Amino acid sequence: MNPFSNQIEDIFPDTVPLSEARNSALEQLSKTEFPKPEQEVWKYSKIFDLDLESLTPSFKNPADKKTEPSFLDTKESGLVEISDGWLTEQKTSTFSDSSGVYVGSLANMGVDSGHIEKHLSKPKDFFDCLNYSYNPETLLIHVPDGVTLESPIYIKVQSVTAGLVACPRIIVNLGEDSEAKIIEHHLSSSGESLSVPVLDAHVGQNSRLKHRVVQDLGEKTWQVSKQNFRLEKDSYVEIFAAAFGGDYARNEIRCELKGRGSEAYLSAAYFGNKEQTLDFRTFQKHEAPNTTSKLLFKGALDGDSRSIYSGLIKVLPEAVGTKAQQTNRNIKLSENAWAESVPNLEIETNDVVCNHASTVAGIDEEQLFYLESKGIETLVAERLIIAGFFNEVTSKVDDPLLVEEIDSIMTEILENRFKSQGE
Amino acid sequence: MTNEKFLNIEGLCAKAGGKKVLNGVDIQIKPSEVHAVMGPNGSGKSTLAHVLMGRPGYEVTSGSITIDGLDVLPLKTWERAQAGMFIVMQQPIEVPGVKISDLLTEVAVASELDPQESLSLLREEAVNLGIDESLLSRELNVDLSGGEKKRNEALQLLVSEASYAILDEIDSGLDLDSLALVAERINRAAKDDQLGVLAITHFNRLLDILEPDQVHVLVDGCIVETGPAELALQLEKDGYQKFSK
Repeated sequence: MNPFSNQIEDIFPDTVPLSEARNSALEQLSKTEFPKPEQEVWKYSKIFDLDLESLTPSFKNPADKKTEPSFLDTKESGLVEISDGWLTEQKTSTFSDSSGVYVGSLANMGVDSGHIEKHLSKPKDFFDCLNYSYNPETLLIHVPDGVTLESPIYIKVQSVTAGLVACPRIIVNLGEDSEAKIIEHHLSSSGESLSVPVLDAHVGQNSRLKHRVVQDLGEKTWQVSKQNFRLEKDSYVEIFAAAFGGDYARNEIRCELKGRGSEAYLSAAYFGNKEQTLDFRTFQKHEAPNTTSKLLFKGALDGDSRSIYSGLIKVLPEAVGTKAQQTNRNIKLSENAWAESVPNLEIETNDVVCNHASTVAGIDEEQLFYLESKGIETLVAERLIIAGFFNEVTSKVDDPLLVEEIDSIMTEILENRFKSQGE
Repeated sequence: MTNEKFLNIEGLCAKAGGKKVLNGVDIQIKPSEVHAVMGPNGSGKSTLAHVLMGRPGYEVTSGSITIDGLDVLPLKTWERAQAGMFIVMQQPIEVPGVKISDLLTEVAVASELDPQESLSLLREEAVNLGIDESLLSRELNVDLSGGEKKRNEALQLLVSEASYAILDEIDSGLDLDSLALVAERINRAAKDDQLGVLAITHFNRLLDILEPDQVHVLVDGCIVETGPAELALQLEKDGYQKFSK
């Protein structure tokens, strides 16, 4: 179903190229149903409460609109800003040298983009179709063979206009023997909106990608995010996601280990508050021999918040020598908080080492007693334990700007908790 | 009520899970005094330490605990610590992701001290105890040997402002040299800084250095005999048989 019955030709300005891909996505969208509660991938979700008809796609570049304050605002270079799905600012001249690195609109890259498009994912479900149909401008980060980006590329992804469906799209293409680090900050205005970002990352042979995202959306924003990673032979990917904001925020991470010897490390830290729902779906797909994937997701749930972790490790018959891990740990900080944890294995070969584990528990009473016995009052002791719990994942975020941002968000959450309970 | 300073445990009885675990414990520890508590396994020694510190799961049914005249029974664990009690647990608990410096910073803030001064004090004291500086940036008790844990605890005790230390088998896990270092330093704290000590132990090695003023024998949650330091030697020779019913 297309909730926005208007045709694309009528509404996007002339500057937005109409591609065949968009038209076929629109056609597919009109035939694709909205998620249903009985579908396993939407189990425990509250997506069915989404009032899509009250929203409209973003047909106009919001360049003159005010922007949301971000820790990236002080950056003078290496920064791209995406607002309501449009590329609104770019300070990336440092990357446009003779090495052939490209950071910018996919449409402007011209004929060279053909070989990149073959790595892109095809729209699979309703939200993919929505993104492919209504994404106005796609950001492409292309790093050619043998090139290492010395500094990270920061992307500020913001929804600035209330009442809109924003469809940001980012494509990352790493050639062979190349290296890049990409950091996204997702944020939004306080009004109601929906963000449907899609990231497609292709990591060439023997290349290394570090991708980090911190989601700190406004309280009334809904997000359905997709991140697709494709790994060629001997490539290496580190994926980190921090999720703090949003009303309902879902992040689906697909990792396809297509090349022999490729490695993927996935970690996440999330903290739910009030009535929030944070929803993670992960897929570690081992398609080639001697591939490795390790996943560690950690969350804390306070107030009436809910979290869902549902993950699948799939090992195909040819993926002998696979090593795969999946661990999800949750701390429940209040009576009404709720965490669902569903790890799954699907293994079609014998020669593998796979394990999964998941826990949902309150704050450890023994740890609490131990810290209190040193003269620290209960709430401060809890704060230390929670920060320590997250340390296992946050300590691996090796970007000073991002570490500082996560620290400050976390400190604010814990201090607010302290204030509200201390009263 | 006198204004005299001491940790006073009087007629202390406690239950855990509906079972009586302490059946009348009387101990008075004055500043600078060292008291040893000895007894067979399962006699309630660790229980006594936990009840003193207000560990959840224990219910005091009668008797009293006061510090320098202050009734500690209504106090929470952290309030007891702030009132001057310090426990070294038999098995210090692992707290992943939290460093000793994080802990000490919060302790300093709670007592309105300068965290930086506390940390430099910690570093000085670490040298006295032969603790490598790298240990200070490790996660609390995570992947530490028994001896390292105990030395860490002793370190925290010595930089704390505690008036009374409850040491639950601080000697277990420590090698002979470390034991001597730690025990001598605690002994000095008792003599110089007026620290009152309640040391639970099975062994005279610790008591040789700590030189207890009194030795208490705890059997079935009851103090059955109290005597001078020599009592410990006698216990080592004869065991606890004569106390069993």
